[in-house]
Amino acid sequence: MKLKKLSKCLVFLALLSLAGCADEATCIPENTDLLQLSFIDENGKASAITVVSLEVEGGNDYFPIIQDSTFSTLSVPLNPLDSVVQLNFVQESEINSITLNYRATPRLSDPKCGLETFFNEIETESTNFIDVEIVNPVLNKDITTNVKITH
Amino acid sequence: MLKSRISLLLILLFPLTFAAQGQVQVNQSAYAYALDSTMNKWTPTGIRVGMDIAGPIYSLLEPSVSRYEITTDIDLHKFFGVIEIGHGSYKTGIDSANYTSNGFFYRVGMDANFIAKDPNLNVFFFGLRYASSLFNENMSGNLPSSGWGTQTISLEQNSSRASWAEMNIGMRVRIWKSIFAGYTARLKILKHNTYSKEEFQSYYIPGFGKADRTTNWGFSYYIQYRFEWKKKPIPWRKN
Repeated sequence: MKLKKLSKCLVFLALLSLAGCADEATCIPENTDLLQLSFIDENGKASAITVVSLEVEGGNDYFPIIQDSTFSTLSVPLNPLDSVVQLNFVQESEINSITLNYRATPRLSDPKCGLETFFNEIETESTNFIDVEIVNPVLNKDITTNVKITH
Repeated sequence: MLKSRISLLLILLFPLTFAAQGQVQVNQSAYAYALDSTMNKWTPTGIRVGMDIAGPIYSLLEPSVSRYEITTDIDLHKFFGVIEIGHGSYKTGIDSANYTSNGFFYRVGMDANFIAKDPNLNVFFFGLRYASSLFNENMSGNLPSSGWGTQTISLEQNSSRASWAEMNIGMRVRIWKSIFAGYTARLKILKHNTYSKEEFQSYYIPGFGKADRTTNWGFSYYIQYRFEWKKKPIPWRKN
């Protein structure tokens, strides 16, 4: 009798283990390569910044991503094959820059979905803004702010 | 696919029936005799060696995965010292991504036998294992990027290590003379990875399974041969 109960228990355990094999790939990435920046004033309130252009430097590449614009939040793509990015905010009277280090780790999200990059360990290397705070050092679609910049 | 796997598992679990029917008196057993106080019950009486057949069968269902392993255990009264050694690999490829992982793994540990009085030396056990894997990986393909264009990579990561612990439950049943069959169900926990240099995130760890999980289930079905040098004294209660 005991053995019968035991058998049922073991069959249940074996079926439970099969349930773990039944994952279906959704191919909806949780991660992103977009760094989320927020601009604040010295009182911690959202404060828009006006730029003539915003230039992004990473590895051997360099390109402007924004021209003649005003914004208080910004998304900047990070290079998956690099570990440093420099953002040059060209304003009418000055150029403010921020250099960030990060770690980019490729991974196979799922055999049916292909490769993606996981970005983390974001830290400030140098800046001439008033202050830069890393709010969240990981890039994820659910995260609205990675870096707060006081200007 | 799932139905066929379930059917296969039920067939594999069939030896439970043998265990239920195989009760004989200890004085009739060809393999055991009653323990008395003058004997050293901890003297090893035999070892079993065998191989897993669940891994090769699973490879037929999932050709991207292969796993082969051998096992040996030594009989120490109510306990078994266990060593399991295996090789595993994973290979996948689509247009934009290729990934391979292959390497060796081992497990060492002890099983506690709950039916130590069985004169046929059948075993129903709970066991603990320490497991470790040494493996090499390759990853190539296209990395999508929002602003930097599609980037092509070709990376390799050698001599990666992972270790984990396992809680096992299972049974072994004597099916004919010295031949045993039975399964081990595994809960793999406490995974820890070590990389010489982490070029990319591991996807598959031989012996453990998908690397992004902290726990995994596993299942092995062993056919074993018991080499015994003497009958086993078992703690038989006299009526």
